[in-house]
Amino acid sequence: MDSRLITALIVVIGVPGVLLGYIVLSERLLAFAPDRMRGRLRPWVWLAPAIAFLGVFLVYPTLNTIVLSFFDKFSKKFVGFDNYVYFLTTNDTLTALRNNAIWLVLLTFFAVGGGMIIAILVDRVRYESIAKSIIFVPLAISFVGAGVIWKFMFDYRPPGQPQTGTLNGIVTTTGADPVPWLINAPMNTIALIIVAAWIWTGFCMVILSGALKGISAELLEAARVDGANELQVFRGITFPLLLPTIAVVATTMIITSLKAFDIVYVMTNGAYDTEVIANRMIKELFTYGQPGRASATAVLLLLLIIPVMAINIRRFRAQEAIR
Amino acid sequence: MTEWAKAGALKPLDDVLDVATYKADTAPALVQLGTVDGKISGVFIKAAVKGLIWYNPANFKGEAPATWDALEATSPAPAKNLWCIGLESGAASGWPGTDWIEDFVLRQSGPDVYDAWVAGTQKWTSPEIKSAFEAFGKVVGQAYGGSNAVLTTNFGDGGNQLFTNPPGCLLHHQASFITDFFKKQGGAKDGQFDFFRMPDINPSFAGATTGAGDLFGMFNDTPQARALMAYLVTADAQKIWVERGGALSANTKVTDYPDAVSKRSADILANAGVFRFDASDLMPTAMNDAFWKAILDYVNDPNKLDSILSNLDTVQASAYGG
Amino acid sequence: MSFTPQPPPLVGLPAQNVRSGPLRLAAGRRGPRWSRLALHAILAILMLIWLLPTLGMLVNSFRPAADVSRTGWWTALSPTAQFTVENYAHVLAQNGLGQAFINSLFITIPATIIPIAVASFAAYAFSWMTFPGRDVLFIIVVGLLVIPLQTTFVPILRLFKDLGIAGQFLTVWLAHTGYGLPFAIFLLRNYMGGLPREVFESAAIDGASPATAFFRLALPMSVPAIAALVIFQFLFIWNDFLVAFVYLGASSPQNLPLTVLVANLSNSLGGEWQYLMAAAFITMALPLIVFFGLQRYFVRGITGGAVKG
Repeated sequence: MDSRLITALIVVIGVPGVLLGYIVLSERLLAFAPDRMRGRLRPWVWLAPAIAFLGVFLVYPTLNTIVLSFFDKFSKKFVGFDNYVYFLTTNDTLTALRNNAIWLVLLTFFAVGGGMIIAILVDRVRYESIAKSIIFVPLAISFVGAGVIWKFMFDYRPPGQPQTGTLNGIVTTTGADPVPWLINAPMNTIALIIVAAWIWTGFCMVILSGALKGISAELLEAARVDGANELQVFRGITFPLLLPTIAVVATTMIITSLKAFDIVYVMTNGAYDTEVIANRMIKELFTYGQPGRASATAVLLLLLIIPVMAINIRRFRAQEAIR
Repeated sequence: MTEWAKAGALKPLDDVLDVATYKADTAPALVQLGTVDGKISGVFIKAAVKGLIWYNPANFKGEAPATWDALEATSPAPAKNLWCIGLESGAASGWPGTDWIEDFVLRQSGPDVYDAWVAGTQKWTSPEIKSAFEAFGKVVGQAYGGSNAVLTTNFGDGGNQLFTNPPGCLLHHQASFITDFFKKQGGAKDGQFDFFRMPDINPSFAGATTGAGDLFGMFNDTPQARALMAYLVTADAQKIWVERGGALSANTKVTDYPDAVSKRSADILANAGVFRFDASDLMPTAMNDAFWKAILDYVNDPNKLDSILSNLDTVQASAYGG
Repeated sequence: MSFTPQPPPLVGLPAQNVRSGPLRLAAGRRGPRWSRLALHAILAILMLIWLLPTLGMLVNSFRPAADVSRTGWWTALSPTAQFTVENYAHVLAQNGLGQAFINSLFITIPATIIPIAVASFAAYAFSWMTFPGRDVLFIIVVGLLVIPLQTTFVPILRLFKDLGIAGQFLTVWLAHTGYGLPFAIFLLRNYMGGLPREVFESAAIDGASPATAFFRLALPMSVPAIAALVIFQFLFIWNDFLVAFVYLGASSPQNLPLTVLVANLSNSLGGEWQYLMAAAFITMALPLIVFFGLQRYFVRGITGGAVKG
């Protein structure tokens, strides 16, 4: 009980105190520095905590992981590309790679496409904000919570028994046999992607909806007055104008698909050919005790993401140039 | 334990205990398991037996079959299927199947193969292990709801079909903890379920039983430790565990079990010819995890058995050693 | 206090000017009657699809065990259905969910405050101080946005072990700070950089030190962005499974947050779904309150985070 009280005190008083104290104290110290030095030193004083955290928790470990990926499971012996060869020649890991590709295509398609359709539809009704909240709310729920929720959507009972899963409840009312959604590949991977799409569609919708409202109403109105139907308006005006935003959300969804982990871990843990790279990495690390292979897996994940990152930075620099 | 005993870290107990009384009072299979190179190195305080086959007395009448073949030939009537199996357990899915395989390996091929298998020196592709998988595959073939139901049913719900009307199955294989789930999940009342020991398969290994237990040894030879060890093996000491429920005593003199299930499990333990721990629990984590997954893959597609087993051999090659 | 603050000018997204209300409605009111009906029908179905999963779980979490394992949640819509709060009482008392709830708070609060404070210092330097390498450094920070957390686990686990702090709350505070910084710096830098230059210039002329300008001007003026960030980071960490699982999961069962505990329960409860669902709903309660209470800021946080991976 005591240690919890101490933790609570650290949480509420200690942490903010240290943070505030850092700036106040270092500004005091700067006051003693000669004038010319002060101006040069000051930015680094303000940046130092951030640089320290980024260095210790992102830059150093990433570089270290790359090094470790060339060593054996005790991180002692150099093994060259063995860990990568293992990844690229083992059935389970290749399945993971294939599944990430399915995730990438389908999740991006479902979430961005669904988000766009919903954004366009809700733009035309008065209950827009309520509808958006409902689509958006899964994003506030943890992936673990979503996994539990959907486990009951996909639940299966043998034919003839009362179904307890919502989907099979619907399927059996049509007279068909219940479907074991999470057992048969590749349907089970698609089922997991649907859970992810349930979560992420709201995210895409909100951003696309914001962009949609940026399109000039006069422009749309003028096109309609000229006799264009809704489909033509969408193809000729709305879609091209939305394209940059679609690129942004699609990029985010691609990275999300590559990093997919929680849903798979909670719902199938990679059984029945639903493995993904991120879950495989955790398994190599904790279940198999293979930090070398785990590192190689993480590096491969990083290699897949780097092109997306490069595009991101290019876009960022282009935007900076306009500023 | 064997390694510690051989390395001399565990002190032999032969001059600590009253050996004659200990051997007379303790289930022979447990005495054997605690003996290394002819010296008593560890003693069991409490134990549990696995490989129990549960049934609803309203549906399954008559004697427990004496052999596995007789059991397999039992007519499932009035139920549709002979067995109920539930393998789902979240990230640990598949473990109830490993208990099946372990019971088959021990009963078909005996303790030596079993020990080699646990130690990682018995190949998964060997005929002994393969035939255990095939025997399990036959059981799954007679299971309620087919492989889809076996894979998606949670282990806690596994036996629910014993108690439905009409019953979905006649028998369910599980350790004694399952009775809690029978009552909570299956809606069963006391008296609606009973069990017998999974029958022998190879007569030369009659009485072989799998289970779990707490083994005590002595690392430091002090008078206090000696006194404690001598006390722990007595009926008086072991009664304490038993009275709290759910545990079996290694000491056959302890007979006042709080319920019928514990009492009859204790009989199985006392008469066990050979007693072995749960193999998958003793294997390295990577091996255990692959074993669970192999169970799921095999049930999902029995035709893949050979590739599943050779995959397990690959895992075995890297999971052990260091 | 500035009422109805404008969305921050975020990089990576086209400008978003909200169309005037009447015009929008006029645009929306077009079309024949049947197509309006079809529109409402489609939206109603979509909303139902999105609500159904959560609704089903909520209903089930209040049903007795025997009902949950034998019938679908929708059968509880009949008037004879029975409901109980026993599932909630059970998980709070038996499965340590109360403790886990407190753990989640202990993890989330500092892991929200620290990165945002550190990021606001850095964002201030990036926005209103000149120093060599500023742009390059900022681009590196943006690049770090997409580093998969998996890439960092092995070295950091070893670091924590060497420091002797493995399994303590401190580990997740530090790790979440490192992981959350790129996005926080990115968002705050863009907002602070968009504040009017004159304000800072006249403050400097009046003799205000940079620290004073930070606490008196930059921070108060950035409240909308900071609020968005606080909510975003809070939800992100409250809902986090991976980081807590990796740094706390193996070594310290007493420090586990709700998400890890619920994931563990889903492996071990043995089909006692009613408990699992009650537990899952307890983990969701706080995020849902935060979400519905502060939706406006949350949406802004997300909109700003469009570039985040």
